[in-house]
Amino acid sequence: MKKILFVILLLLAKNVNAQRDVSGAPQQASNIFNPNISVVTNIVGSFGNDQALEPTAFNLSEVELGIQSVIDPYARADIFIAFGPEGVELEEGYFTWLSMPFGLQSRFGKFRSNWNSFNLIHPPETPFADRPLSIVNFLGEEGAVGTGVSLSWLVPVNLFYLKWIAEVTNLPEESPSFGVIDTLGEPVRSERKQDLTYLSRLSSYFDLSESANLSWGVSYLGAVNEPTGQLWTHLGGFDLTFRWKNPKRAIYSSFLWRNEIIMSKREVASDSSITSWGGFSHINWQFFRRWHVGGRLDYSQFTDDKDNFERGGLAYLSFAPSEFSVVSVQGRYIKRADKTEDWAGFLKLSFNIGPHGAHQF
Amino acid sequence: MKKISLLLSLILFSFNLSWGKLKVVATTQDLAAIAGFIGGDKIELSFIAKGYQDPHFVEAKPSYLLKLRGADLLIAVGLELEIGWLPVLVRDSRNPKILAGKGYLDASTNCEILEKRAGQVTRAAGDIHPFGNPHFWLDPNNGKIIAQNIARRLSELDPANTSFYQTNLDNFVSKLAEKQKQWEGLIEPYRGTKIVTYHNSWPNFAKYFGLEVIGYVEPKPGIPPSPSHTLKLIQLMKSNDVKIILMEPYFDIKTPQSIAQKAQAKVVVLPPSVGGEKEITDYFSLFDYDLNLLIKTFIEVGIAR
Repeated sequence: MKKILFVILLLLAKNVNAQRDVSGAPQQASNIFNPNISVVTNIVGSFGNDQALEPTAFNLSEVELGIQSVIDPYARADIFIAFGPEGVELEEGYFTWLSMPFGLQSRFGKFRSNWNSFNLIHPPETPFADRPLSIVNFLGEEGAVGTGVSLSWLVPVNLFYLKWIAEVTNLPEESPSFGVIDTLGEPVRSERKQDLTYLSRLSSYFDLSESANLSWGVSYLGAVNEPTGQLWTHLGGFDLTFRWKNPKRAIYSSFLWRNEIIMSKREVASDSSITSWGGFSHINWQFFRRWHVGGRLDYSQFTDDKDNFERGGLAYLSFAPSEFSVVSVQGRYIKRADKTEDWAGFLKLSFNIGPHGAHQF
Repeated sequence: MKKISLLLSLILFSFNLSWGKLKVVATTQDLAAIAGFIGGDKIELSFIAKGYQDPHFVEAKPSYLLKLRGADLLIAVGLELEIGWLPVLVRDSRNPKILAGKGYLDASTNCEILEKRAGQVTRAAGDIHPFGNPHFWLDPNNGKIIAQNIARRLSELDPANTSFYQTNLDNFVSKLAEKQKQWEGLIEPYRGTKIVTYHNSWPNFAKYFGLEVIGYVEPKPGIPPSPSHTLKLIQLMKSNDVKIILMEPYFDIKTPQSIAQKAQAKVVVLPPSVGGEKEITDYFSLFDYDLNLLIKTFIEVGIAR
């Protein structure tokens, strides 16, 4: 026994020495392998008679911490952590295999789904203080986000850009269109592994001229909508975006017109379903180097109610002192399904700190 | 039968089935001009940013991915000039050759880079490039180094044509040396002339040709001019007898014109890149054009020596 104790003490002592060796080793001379760390912050002030507004006048609606790095010659990792009034949440965290055979690329982890085009934009980075009605009513406040796997294929044609994406993710815990609810009507996490969300998207892009281009896509998103897994909701999406920017005056003026439609077929029994739809149209015009004006028109039915709908619009004027901050005043009108009229005004400030990120396209 | 042949031809054209030559993509037309001289008909060359575009603000259009996904070599300016658009294109290209290894060439390697930042770097200084000013190709000596970098990398990727690339490099270097003598002779009487530039794009150009940049229309890189800065700049120009404001074609001329009018100076719109004007078809004609225009303006404003 004494011998065993002696050996253990010897090993511990050796380990302590080893630790000392490590701690006493020269510090790494460079931090160039550290991941890029950036923070995007979104502060929103709001007023109006809209019951959906935050109860307080000013809110630090989101601080998004981004940690991004190349892992090795084959892959990279992107992690986004959102700090907001409701706590801390892993907004996205995924691993991307950058180059696979046959033009494939894949992603594992939690990520924003490739549903239509607007869904990919993180909330602080959109020009709006809110999300379009159709996205909120069919996909929820956060849009479509899931944990799973994504596979995308850049179709090898030279004449135009064509990309196909397939994704399989866990069933979202809270989604108007999908998921499982308990007997009290509250959303609960599905305990069945086969309850998954399936997405497929085909998108393309064309240069109409040196200044103008058009991108479009069709998307499908489907999953069960009740605990037995027998009934599904199928969402079909179509998006079309027109962009204009004179390359000789790129920083001074631009124009964007984005349109998205969501069509929903929600099975409510083996032989009946509810078909509904919604969509939005957004125009953004950069009329001076730092100034943008824009507007959005919304129309949306509900995933479980095709007879009622909401419609409205949002207009904004924004000023960007530099590439790294933007402040905007916004006004929103919504006519709710119960015919009430909601008005809201917003003051939104977004800024980002850290390494220079990619310009939004 | 004809229809089937036509269909097959279309499919073959549509799918990426060409082979043989090295496919080289340059991020700017300047790098493409040098790569074209060195690579000649042994490479299939394309570029992304045209000479009249601001290379900081190129859109990451998906159509550029069609060029990048089949590239054997991507030549970039580096020093974060393309930070807003190139990383996302490279990432989405799915091309392992340019993602890592010899298929990516940073043209700034071994070049003389000015204004490397030391100590703490913050955005309070504007949209700066921490690794140095990325407009280094505007020094002809750096043009020679870029050509050497490209020739070396092409030889590594395509060793069978090493002598071809070396011969072209030798021709480039000797032509450049000849031109440098000519350019230096032209600018000699004007060395030491004080100028103002719109953006801080010209430090290498100014250093090589002996011009002294004493101020900028932008108060800080990437920050539009404010009225108070404009007033200070007019005073600075008057007190230093500055007669020239040099600007790139992709900036708005109104503010520089207004400043020039009040400071009794003249604005010269000088393309910083190949392709910035129709006449600028290669790296040599870039300096030919810019120097001729600059000297013509010097004479017009009475800086003749």
